[in-house]
This record gives sequence, C-alpha cells and structure tokens, in this order.
Amino acid sequence: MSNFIDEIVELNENKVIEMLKFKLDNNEDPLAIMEEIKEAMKGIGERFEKKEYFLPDLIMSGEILRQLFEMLSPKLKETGASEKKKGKVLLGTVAGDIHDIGKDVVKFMLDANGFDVLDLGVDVSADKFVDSMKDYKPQVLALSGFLTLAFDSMKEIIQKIKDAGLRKSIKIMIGGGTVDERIVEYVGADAYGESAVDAVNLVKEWV
Amino acid sequence: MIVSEKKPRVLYKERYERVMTTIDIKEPDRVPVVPGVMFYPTEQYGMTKKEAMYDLEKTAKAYLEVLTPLNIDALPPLLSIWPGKLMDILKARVFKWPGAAEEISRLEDHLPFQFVEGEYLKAEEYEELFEDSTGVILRKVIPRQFGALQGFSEFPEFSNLASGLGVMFTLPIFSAMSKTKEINEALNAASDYLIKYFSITNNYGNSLKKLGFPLFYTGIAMAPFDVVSDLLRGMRGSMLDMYRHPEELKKLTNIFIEGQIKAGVQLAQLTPKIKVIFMPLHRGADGFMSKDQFEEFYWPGLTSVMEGLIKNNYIPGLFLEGGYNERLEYLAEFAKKHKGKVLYWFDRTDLAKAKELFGGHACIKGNVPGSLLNMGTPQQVEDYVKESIEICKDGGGFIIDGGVSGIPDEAQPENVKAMVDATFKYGVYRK
Repeated sequence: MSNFIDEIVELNENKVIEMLKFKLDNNEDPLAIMEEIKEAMKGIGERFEKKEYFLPDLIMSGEILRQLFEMLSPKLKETGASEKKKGKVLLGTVAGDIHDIGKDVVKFMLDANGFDVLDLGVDVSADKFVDSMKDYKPQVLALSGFLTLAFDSMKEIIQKIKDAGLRKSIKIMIGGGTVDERIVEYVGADAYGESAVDAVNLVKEWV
Repeated sequence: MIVSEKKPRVLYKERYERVMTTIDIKEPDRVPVVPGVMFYPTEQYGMTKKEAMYDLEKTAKAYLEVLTPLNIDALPPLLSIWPGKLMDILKARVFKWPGAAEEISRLEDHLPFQFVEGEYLKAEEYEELFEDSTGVILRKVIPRQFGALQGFSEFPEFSNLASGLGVMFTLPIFSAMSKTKEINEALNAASDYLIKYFSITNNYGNSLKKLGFPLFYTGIAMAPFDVVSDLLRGMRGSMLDMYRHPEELKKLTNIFIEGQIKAGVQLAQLTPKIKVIFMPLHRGADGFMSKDQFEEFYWPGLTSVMEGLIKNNYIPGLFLEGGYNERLEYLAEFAKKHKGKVLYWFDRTDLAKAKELFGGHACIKGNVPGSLLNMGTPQQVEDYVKESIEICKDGGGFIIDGGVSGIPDEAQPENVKAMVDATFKYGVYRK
C-alpha cells in the first residue's frame, strides 16, 4: 500500500479518500491519522513555498482536506483530544474590498503551519476588527486588500485599533494586489508581505 | 505652453501618430503618455462612484475637464465605468456596485463596482452544456447571472420549435408567461438605455477629437479562461476542474474564443479610433497557476483571441495586472511572431527584463506604481518615470502609464501631473 501522506501531497483525491476509509474501517488511531494529515499539509505548504504548487493545487488540497476532516472528525471527537496551536492570527479583507483570493491563500498557509486563524471574511469594518481583537486576542493581525482604496481602509482600521488602546498588544502585517512596502508606513502597520510565504515567516518571527 | 497653441486638428494628428509609431516599434518625437483611468477624473470632479456610474454624461464631462488639461497623448474611453442603470435594469448578479437598486447588489456610494464570483455553471452541467451549449447558457447560466432574465429558464425546447405548430403555440405561450414579460420589459428598457449610452460615448469621442485628443482602447475582449473562471465556474470551480474535469475545462474555454474575438471587434467598430482592444487578464498572473497549468489551460485560448483580433486588424492591448515575470517567455514568443501588432501594459513586472526580451517586437506600457501615485511625492514619481524611460526608450515601443489600472482613483493630482510632465521632460527622441 502506498504512503497516505504522499498521496495527499500528490493530491490524488480518490485514492486518498479510499485509503482513509480503509484506515477507519481498520480502527486505526484517529489521532495518528490526524498527525499524518498534518504532516501532509506541511508537505503541501512546502511545495507552495518552492513554487511547485499554485492556487489550483491549494484549492484542490483544501477540497481533499475538507473531505478527510469530515470523515475523521466524528472519530476524533470520540477521543476527546484537542490540539495545541502555535499562535493566533486574525485575518480579513478590509472594508470596501470584497476580494478574497490572497486572504484565503494566507489562511491556508498559516493553517498548514500550525497557527490558529480566525478569518473575518471580506469587506470587514474597523469596528469589527477591533471587536474581534478583544474577543479572540490574537498576537497578529493580517489585513488584506486588492483595491487601492484598501490603503485608506487599512489606515482607518489601524487608527481605530490605536484609539482602542490595542495597538501595542499586536503585530500588524498587510498584503494584497496593490499593496507594497511604501504602504506600511502610511497605514501604520509593522510589515508588508509579498506572498503567503512571507506572511508565514512574519508570523513565525513575531509569535 | 507652446503645445496648446497648435490647432486641435494638428495636435490630434501629432498625438495619433506619436502613439501609432510607438506601437509600431519605431521612435516618434517623444515617448507618449497614455494613462488608463477608472474613477480618478470623477473623484477629482467631486462625484461619488455611484454618481459616476449613474450619470455618465457628467462622468464624460469629468473625464474631459480633468484629463485634457494634462495634455496626455490619448484619453481612455468611458467603458471602464460601467453603467449602473443598465445593471439595475437587467438585475445583474455577477457584480456588486454602488447605488444598485436592489440591496443584494448594493455597495456604498464611495466604492467601485466589483465582481461576484460564483459557479454560474455547475460542474455536473458540463456534459449537458456540450450537448446543447445554447440551451444551457440560455436556460441555466443567464438566469443565474441576471435576475431580470430568469424567465429564460422556461425557454421551450428548440426541437419543438422546428414544427410549425411549435412556433404557433409553444412560443406565444412562453411569451405570455409573467417572467417572460419581465424579460421583454427589461430588454426594451436596456435597449432604450443603450441608445442614450452610445450617444454619450459618441459625444465624448467627438468632443475629444475636437479638442485634439485621440481615444485609446476601443473595444474589450477577455482571455477565454478568464470568462470561464470569472463568470461561469468561479475561480474555485475552474481550478478544481483542472484536477477533476481538465478536458471539459479546456473544451469550455475553447467555446469562448470566437465569441471574444467577435465581441472585441464589434464594440471596437462603434468607435473607430486608435485600434487597440483592451484585454484585462485575471488568472494569468504569476502566482495563480503553475507554468504547466498556464500552458495547458490559459495561454492557448488567450493567444487564439489575440491572433483573431490581429487578423481583424486590431491590436490586442493586454493589461497584465499583477506580476508577469514568470510569463515573459510566452509574451516574448507571441511578440516575436507579431511584431508591432501587440501591446503589453505591465503592472508589477520588471520592465527592464521585458524590454530586453521583446522590446523590439511588442509595445510596452506602464508602470508607475499606484502606491507612488497615491502616497509618493512628485519628485519620487518623476524619478520613477525618468528611470523607466531610460530603460525602455530606445527604439520606440514604450508608453508611460500607471501600473494598476493606470491612475488609481485616489491618486494625488500633483503626482499625476508629475508623471505626465516627467514624460515630456525625459521622453524626447527629437525636437
């Protein structure tokens, strides 16, 4: 039998699902299976970093992982185990902008690297970011934007975070289509990431 | 200024020739500056984005009054501001825009229109589509994309219509349905609106000409993969298809080649000016797909459309938003086959590399960064333009423009002026 982890990394959808069924039928330890899946996610993330995988591959892997988790989660719940994450990142596309591609890739890569990510979606207001920061208590805030209007939305969001007295407790990174290092100072962020790999590296550095 | 003392007719000719000579990869008197815009002129004119989309007459005025004093070499058409009224009439579901009549489509007044991605064609409908593409597009895709056209979902079987009785009974029955009445009303209203719309765009083109400015970009065409990915299968759907339905995906993409050529040429014929057809690319950029995927799914359909446009004597003007640094070899290969017949507008692509690879074959346009035009100083803008001109000027084939969508909506006017003036200052080939 071929390696479960490799088959996931290779994105062989049908094969992988068949293999998981077999494992579950044979009462393999769900926690051990989960570890294998995590290992595979890391492998997928590495291929993305090496520019061997791109969006179609990430989307396909997301689709495979979703199915695997669906099959596995009832068994995992029975074990009652919960996993420790490395740190918390709050993420969203800023007010006025409904683009989600870049944000979703960043979420995937942070997930794959073991971080806990709360994704607020698109067109997220400053107030919503501030409220979520209070509830979720992330160490890192990741602001995404594709349109040039996002510059001002980011600025406003960070201003409101300052006004709420929360700026010192958080590191803020920005990214997206038109964002570049020139924007960091303007909006009052800590750093800019060119790609999802940069985003992961920044979080690793900060957390 | 000496320039403005010339008669508009003379200026028109000079500007037209300057741009055409450049596209033809020869040196004109000066590097042209032809900025693309969307809402920059209307913002400067104090209009909200909603107002810009609903009062196109005023938008045309804003374009003229804000852009012509810059003495740029050609003006963009109005087609980058989509008419809100038309989208309301048809109840477009594929976009959200400011001031939409229906709440589900409405964005705030100060926001630009944006695409709503979705699976307007489902993966399980591929087979049906290939058996009867007209039927599936009419009965399934269009009703999902446009609320006012939902009645098409009941359109009778074409086979029934071939018998005389089918036409005598089935069609009138279809026509009597309340949903069909809504289609008729919407399409009639849309036709009436379009008559007004085209008179506004024609007046705009004529006013430009009277003032001595040619119109740049006439029609619009898309890469077939983007048609599929933006408006039919969604990005997620189209990318999953690469794994689950690769052959179907390619076949679907190919269906749109002829349509994009015809649509591009048809719109262009309405306003015969500088014959460049705007082709904004979406999923082709670096980072979206691998080289192999690009080569298999994206590039063949795109080049078929480009070649079709060239055969019809139009110049495909690709807007290469994002970075295309990993795609330069493909762009080079096409340019070498079609010298002087293609224009590449770059955003975050290395101009020096582009110039080196195909500067002698394809006209390059770009790429003052949006962040610089919005947040930089005039001096920084001038320095950027100067450097770009130094890199790209030799031999012609270079036009100055902003990077992302030209001049960003929120750009600082002094930076825009700095971009244009720097081109006048550093772009001279001969006096």
